[in-house]
Amino acid sequence: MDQKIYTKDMFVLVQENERLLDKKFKTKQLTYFQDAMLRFTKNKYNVTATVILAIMILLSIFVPIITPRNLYLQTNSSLTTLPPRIPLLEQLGIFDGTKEFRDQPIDYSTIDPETGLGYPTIGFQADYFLFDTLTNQDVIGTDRSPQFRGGTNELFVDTERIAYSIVTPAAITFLTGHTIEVNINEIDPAGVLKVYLSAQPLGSAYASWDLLPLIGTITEAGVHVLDPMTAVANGVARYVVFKYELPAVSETGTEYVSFTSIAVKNAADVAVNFYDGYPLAMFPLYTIDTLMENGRFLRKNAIMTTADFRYDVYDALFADQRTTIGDDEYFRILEENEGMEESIVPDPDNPDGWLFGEGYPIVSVVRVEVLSLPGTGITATNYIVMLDGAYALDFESTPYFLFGTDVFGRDLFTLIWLGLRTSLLLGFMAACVNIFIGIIWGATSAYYGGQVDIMMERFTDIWGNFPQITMIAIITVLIGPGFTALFIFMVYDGWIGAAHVTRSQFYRYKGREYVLAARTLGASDSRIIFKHILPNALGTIITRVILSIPSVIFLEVNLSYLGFGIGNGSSFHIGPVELTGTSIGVILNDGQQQIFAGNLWMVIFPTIIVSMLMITFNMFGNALRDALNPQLRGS
Amino acid sequence: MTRYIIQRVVWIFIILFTTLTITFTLLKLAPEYPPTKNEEKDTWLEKQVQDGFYTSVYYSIDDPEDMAAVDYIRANEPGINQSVFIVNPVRDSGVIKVFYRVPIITQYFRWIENIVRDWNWGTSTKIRVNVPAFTIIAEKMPLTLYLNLAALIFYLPFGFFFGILAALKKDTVLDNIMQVLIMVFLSVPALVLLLTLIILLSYQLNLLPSLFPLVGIESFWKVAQGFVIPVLAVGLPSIAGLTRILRAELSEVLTSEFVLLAKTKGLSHTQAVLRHAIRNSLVPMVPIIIGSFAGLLGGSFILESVYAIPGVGRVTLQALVAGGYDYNVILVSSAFYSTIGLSTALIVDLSYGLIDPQIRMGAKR
Repeated sequence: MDQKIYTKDMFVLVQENERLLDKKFKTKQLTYFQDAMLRFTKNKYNVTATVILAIMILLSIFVPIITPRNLYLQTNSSLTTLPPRIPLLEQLGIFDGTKEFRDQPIDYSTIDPETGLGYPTIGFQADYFLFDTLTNQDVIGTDRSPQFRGGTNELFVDTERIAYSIVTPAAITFLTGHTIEVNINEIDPAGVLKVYLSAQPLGSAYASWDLLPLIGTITEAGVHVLDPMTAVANGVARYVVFKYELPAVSETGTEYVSFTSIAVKNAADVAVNFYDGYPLAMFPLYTIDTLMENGRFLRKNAIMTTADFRYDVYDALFADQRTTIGDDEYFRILEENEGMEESIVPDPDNPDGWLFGEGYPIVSVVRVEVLSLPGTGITATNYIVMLDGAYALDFESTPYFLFGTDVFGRDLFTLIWLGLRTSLLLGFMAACVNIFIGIIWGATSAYYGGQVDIMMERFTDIWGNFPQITMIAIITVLIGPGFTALFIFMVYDGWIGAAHVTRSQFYRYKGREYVLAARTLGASDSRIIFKHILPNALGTIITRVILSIPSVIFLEVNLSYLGFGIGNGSSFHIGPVELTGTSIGVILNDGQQQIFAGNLWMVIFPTIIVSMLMITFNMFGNALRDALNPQLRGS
Repeated sequence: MTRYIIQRVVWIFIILFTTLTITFTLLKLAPEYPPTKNEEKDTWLEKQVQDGFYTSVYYSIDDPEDMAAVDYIRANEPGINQSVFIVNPVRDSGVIKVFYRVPIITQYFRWIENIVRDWNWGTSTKIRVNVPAFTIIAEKMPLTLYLNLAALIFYLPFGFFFGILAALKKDTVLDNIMQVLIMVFLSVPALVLLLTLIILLSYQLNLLPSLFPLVGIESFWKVAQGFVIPVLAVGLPSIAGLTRILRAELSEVLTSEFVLLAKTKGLSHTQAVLRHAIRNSLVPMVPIIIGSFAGLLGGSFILESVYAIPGVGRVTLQALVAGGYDYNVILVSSAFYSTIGLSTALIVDLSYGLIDPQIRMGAKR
């Protein structure tokens, strides 16, 4: 068999003149992160969300720094529960510093004859009502209170009892021609209403009903006129007793007489004493035979008028206040405010006082009084002045509390950003700890595999199955609520998620050739883990952790709300950064009790802010995941 | 398969046991908080002696030597009012009792023995004094479970409906609106959602009670009204979650070849989806739905606390009032939450195999 022989001259080099090198790309080259950035900016919604998130984070850093500390750290009793007031928007009639009040019992003397509407006067000043929002409605009740008017009063006899009586609260002096007019709404025909006169206010003064003069017996409903003058001399004072009497003991306890009104009229038919509604309800009870007489005196169908209205809380609070100040104080204010003295003009309406120009702490002086201590020759001068409302509360002008104030009189706007800062910082710190522990745990578990992996997996199984509430219980019992406890709640099982992701990423990469190559070259385990595998897996792990921050903040809000986290008053220092005990959860907890007082802004604003934070954070996390791991998009 | 189930059940018991052991040990490291009233304290501590957690020494009030000894304990015992308690004479008995807590390890074995033999979980110290802790939790269980079942029943149909709708109308305006809503409902914390619902439905519209009505006193109709807000608060985020998963799942199935085949046969798009695609996309849904039950339950304590629902979560939180911890109640409720969580996990695991035979149980990786 011939063997073909290949000689060297049979071969020709493909090219001899040039060296073969990689060709340069015609298009621009992108690094991994540039590429990711490109993908990130492609989704406009997510970019918007990221910008909003960034603004919120900046606000949470700078707002508490700019705002004076006394506005959000100190309790300020005069500024409590002020509604939101926002510049510009107030022109449109929303967030204009007015507050809606509901079901406030009105002062009946304020009822306008034209509109028939009344308003409350206790705690409210007439000048600051928004009268076009005022509405009245009637509430029917049985309260024995002066707020309720009219209605009837019913005198019941209890079971196993025979009678029950009421008496006028004061003795009535009877003159010739006086009559008693009793208006009965209903009377149970089982019994009769007997009217007596009594010299004493208490039945215990008498041994028997026979000792009292009977002036009338009423058996049916309607207006009855009784003549007391048959039983009493002219000019003598007597109490009038009304006794509802049954022929035999009551079996059901439902027999009653219902009074509409009781009046004592003089000869000219003018009511001297008139009792109905509330005054009638306050009639004392009168018993002679305490064993046989008992019952109930109940009010029915009484009507209370309540008002719903909007009230300008800011104007009312920051109105000029009339106060008396000493002359030292007066001259000090004049000295401190340049040009104030020169701005004085006489008050055309008040010859004793004078007016100041705009923008000074004192609006006007009403009058000056000079007091001299008798015998000593020492005199003191007092100025009765109208103090500018804002100045009295330490403000330059009427302030704008953008989100209102809370129950402690603190500025809610600053408080929310302060709380957000605490929540965010805790969230970031917890995420860092979680990622740190998670990476070490997951990397070790996956890299060594086998028995080590199984043992570590079983441990996370047990640890992860620990019910959250049990962990809360244990930590609360052992440490007590506070920053440390909150931080432990956040990290005790948070790292398991990061560990799982790291582990699966490591399983993906540890069999690759470059790892084998590194090992062949003698690289140590830690070098392979941290220098070769981890950088490849980092993208996935980071997005996972960023996506976990909202849930950590969730947890903080929930726990602080329940009182297992931080609370008002606690504080914590990390280097130069001070974390106050105010967080969104704490603010929500304070605000929830105010919902039914109508102070809704205390819940609405923190709710909106925390929801915005969560939504933008999630969108940012999703965008980051799509950008770093395009293969996971949409999952 | 059987082997796998047995393995899983055994493993669940191991986890439950470990959890309770850790909880017991850590709680018993903290000071004890017996009932405050002297007589109740006496009854409770005597019961503890009977259960083997304490030992007692009796001193006579008439004996000066005994009194000196009691005074000495009162003044010098380091664990006084933490692990050593002195009970003043009850009902003119003339006996001062001093109770000492036994070491944790002894308590632990007695505790297990009591539970295994008599199902005795100890008595409550603060919630309802001297009532068995298990009874307290067991009484509250039905309401918590009803509430979660109601939420489950509420959210499933809506979740399926919106999920299918979103997948059918994928990338239309409707789908985009739904995506935004899903994002919002998944992002807003349950607490915030609950407060918003209370403000809207209860304060502004006056439709529903602002707190959960008293069960047993109020009528059935009133109690049913009380379910609305909590069920909505739990249900809305669940609907959003289910819609999102179902949409993703269904859109993936819609690209598969058998749907294409169905369409080639002449079925309309909707028919193809309803007849063929949904069935296949349901496979991964079942475990998710079962698993969501445990999730709902785990989050129920915040709900119960805000809306004043007298369920397990609320009682557990009451047992955690600072300075008045009720350890036995905490232990029972831990057992309750662990058991529910773990058994749900087991059912989820098994349901994978039952629904989709392609997944082999306990197969080696």
